[in-house]
Amino acid sequence: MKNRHVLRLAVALIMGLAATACASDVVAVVDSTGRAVSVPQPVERIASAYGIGTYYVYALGAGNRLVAAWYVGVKTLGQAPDSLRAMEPRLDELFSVGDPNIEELAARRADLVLADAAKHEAFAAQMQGIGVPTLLLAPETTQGVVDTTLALGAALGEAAADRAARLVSDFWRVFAASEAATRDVPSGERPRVLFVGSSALQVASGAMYQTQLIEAAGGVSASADLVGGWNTVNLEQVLVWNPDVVIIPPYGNVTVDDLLTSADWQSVRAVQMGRVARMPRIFAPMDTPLPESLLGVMWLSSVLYPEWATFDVRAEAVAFYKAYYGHTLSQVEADAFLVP
Amino acid sequence: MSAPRRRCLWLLYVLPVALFLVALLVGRYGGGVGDAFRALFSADPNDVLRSLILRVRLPRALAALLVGANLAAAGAVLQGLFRNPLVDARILGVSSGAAFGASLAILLSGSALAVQTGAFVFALLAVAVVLAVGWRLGATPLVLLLVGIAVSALFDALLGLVKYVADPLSKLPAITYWLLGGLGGASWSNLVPLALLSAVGLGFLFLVRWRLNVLTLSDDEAASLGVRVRPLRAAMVVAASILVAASVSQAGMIGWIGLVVPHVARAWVGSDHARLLPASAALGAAILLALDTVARTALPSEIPLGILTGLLGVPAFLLLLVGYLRARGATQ
Amino acid sequence: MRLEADRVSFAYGRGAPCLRRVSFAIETQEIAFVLGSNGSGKTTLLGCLAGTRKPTNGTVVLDGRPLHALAPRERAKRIGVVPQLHDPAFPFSVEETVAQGRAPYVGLFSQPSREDRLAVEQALDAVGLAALRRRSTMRLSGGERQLVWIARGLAQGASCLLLDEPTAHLDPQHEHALFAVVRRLAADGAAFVIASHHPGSALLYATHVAFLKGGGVLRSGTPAETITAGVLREAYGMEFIVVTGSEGERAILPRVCEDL
Repeated sequence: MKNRHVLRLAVALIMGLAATACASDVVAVVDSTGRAVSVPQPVERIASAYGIGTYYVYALGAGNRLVAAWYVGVKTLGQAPDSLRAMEPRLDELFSVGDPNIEELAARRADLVLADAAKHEAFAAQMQGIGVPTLLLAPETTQGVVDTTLALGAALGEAAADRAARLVSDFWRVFAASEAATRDVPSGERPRVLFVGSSALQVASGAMYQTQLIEAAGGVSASADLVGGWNTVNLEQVLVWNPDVVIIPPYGNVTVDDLLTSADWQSVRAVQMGRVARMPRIFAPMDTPLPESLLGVMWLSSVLYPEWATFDVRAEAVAFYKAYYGHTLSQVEADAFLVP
Repeated sequence: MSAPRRRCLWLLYVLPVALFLVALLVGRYGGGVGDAFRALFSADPNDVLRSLILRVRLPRALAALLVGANLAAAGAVLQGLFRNPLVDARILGVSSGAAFGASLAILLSGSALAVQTGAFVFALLAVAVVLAVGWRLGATPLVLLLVGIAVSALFDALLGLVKYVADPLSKLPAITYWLLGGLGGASWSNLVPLALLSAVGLGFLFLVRWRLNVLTLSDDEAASLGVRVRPLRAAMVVAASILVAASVSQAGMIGWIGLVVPHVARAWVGSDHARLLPASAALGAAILLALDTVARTALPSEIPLGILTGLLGVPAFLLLLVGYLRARGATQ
Repeated sequence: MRLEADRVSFAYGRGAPCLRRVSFAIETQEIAFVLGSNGSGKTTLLGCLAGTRKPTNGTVVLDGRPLHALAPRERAKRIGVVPQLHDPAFPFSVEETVAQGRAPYVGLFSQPSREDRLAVEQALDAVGLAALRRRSTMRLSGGERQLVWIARGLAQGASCLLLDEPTAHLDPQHEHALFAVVRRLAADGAAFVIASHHPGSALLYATHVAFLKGGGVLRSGTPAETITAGVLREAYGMEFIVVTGSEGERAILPRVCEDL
């Protein structure tokens, strides 16, 4: 795996160099659907209609080039976390929600558009039709996160490409460290994790990104045999699985205390051992396929193997947000990464 | 009623009891039926299986029993009142009103209590509008049917509006899931309103069940038999609607029970509503208990109940239709 | 028992009157035929006599008391209606259909009692349908279904039965069987008012006849008095011949014109 991403790094750098050496400043970027999109350089005005993609833009240091942005998990301006407001002073101007409007984005003279491969195929075709390069993104796996990071880095210029390379190497460092730490744990002894969704009886299927994070952190998903997206189960099935750990995402409508004090959940091992934890959130939910998810892996690792302290999660978080978002975590925000 | 049918009547009433026991003893947790049976009588307060049976399976089984009985009884009553064997609760706008009320509650609040209340209130509101408008126009079955169609269409349109503005990431899936029907939310606390409303509605219909025979005649014929048609018809519509509204607010949209079960019951015990109503209720309870047991046990995730009733109901309906046409054809 | 319509008029809503000052009376053991063409007001008159239509003018009197002073239930215990032949909506059995006649006696929240069941049995015997009691009414012939409804009227305890075009779809043998039952019941004390299109039947079975035309009484009296060529011409707008057979029996034939 290490060799593969070194190769990709090389490809990206070469492409970046080739681009600067080329007489016409156009970079060919391959998006998540496999299309090769020509992106004329430099890109100065970015419209991110893909709520997840927006955070890649910030992580690559190109946030000041946004002219319109959708933010995953933020449906109204009122819902925007303070940290987001602090990082993006132009939030009121940029904030968009709902279906992207072609004329609006054309009016803002975007020269690169990021779109959701799952929903925006027709929209992307129309934007390409009026001459605006559009990347359809769908990072569904950890590899997908890496590929998307590199592709955007290539599209956004040399500085961004450098950032992308560093981000990707950090990504693999974390995954490698976690894997090394848990290599010798037999699969039967890995903690069984139940990842719930917006309600306590909605659980993630084996195909979702959450399961990959759990496995990267050295755990096993209790609901791995479910398929599709979020599945609704009943309490009986939770008891059958009897997970060792229950993880609540930042957008979950149930709190840790709700589960710990619920009479129905008392028989679940995770509740009996007090191993119910809620993922912290600074910008985007960390169980989504974007750069912050590497903090998600680290945090999960400290929840699943607290006595090993494979990562100093708090310090890593402070460093990560400073390096990639230029954001200084407050004490409270940094402490949220500590697992009690 | 012919002798062979009478002999098997006891089966009709044993079936729901037997399936109720099955619902308590069968599930994904724990060993087999034997373990569950033993757990029921164990004195250990920490016994997980016992706690599961009493806290989770028991209220759910009771809910399935009541909802099944309500929907089937209401279906039988409405088919009689409208003199049309192809009628169920959708006719009066009850279901559409409930769907809109529940979806609105999910959109605005999302709490289970709000959803149940919303479904119930709007279900009855829909019927109230149908009765109020229909009464002025004569309250004959045809009038009520036509007004019911109009009211249903109105609430369907409003439901479309709710779905359109709902957030596609969290609210819309919740609405879609609710509309597919399920008893996963059944608990002792929300069983109480369902039980009370079922008692009121089923109790009233049970008492007047013989008179329903007369209401299946034309208004003039019933009047010549000395029966005051309009108030009784309205009262029965209200009772049936209360049963459907209570059931839908508890379990979402479960179709086909109200349409198909009365027909099966009619084939079993005849058309006399004095027998047909209790038989429909018993059979509806049995079928829903069986289907709900499948819904929560067959797969790790919950299968929406409305899907199961649809998959079972459509072929059953077609079979009944063939039988019905053959029976009518035989007289010609 | 005497049921009398006294100068009864009736109009639906604001429309033209269907009945104009119609006077008509029926007593125990009588079989009265109400004849007339379509739209002459026969069914409406039956409705007024049954109490299901309230006259806009005039009164209907039962045994000296206005019919509308009686509660519907009390009315139903005295007057029974046999409707025009139609398919029942549900496959009720003969027994269940006749049992519907006990509605005036069964309380709102009650079930039929043994007394009610006995009355149903007696009614079935009276029309001779006891053997068919479990048969679905959907599987009966037209004539048998009419008998079921007559039995229902008897189960009501009605002493006066109103029949709306009972033989409209019956073949001659079933028509005859029906009237045989009617005659027998009349002899036992019932009274019948029969709205009909068949003046020929009236000739055979009626004790008296009333012709309606345009909502008014054209002629009433005994069959011999009323069923004449002249009255028939006025009532139906075409020519008839009334023939008398060798034994005094009478029949009506339409006069067929051979314009070739």
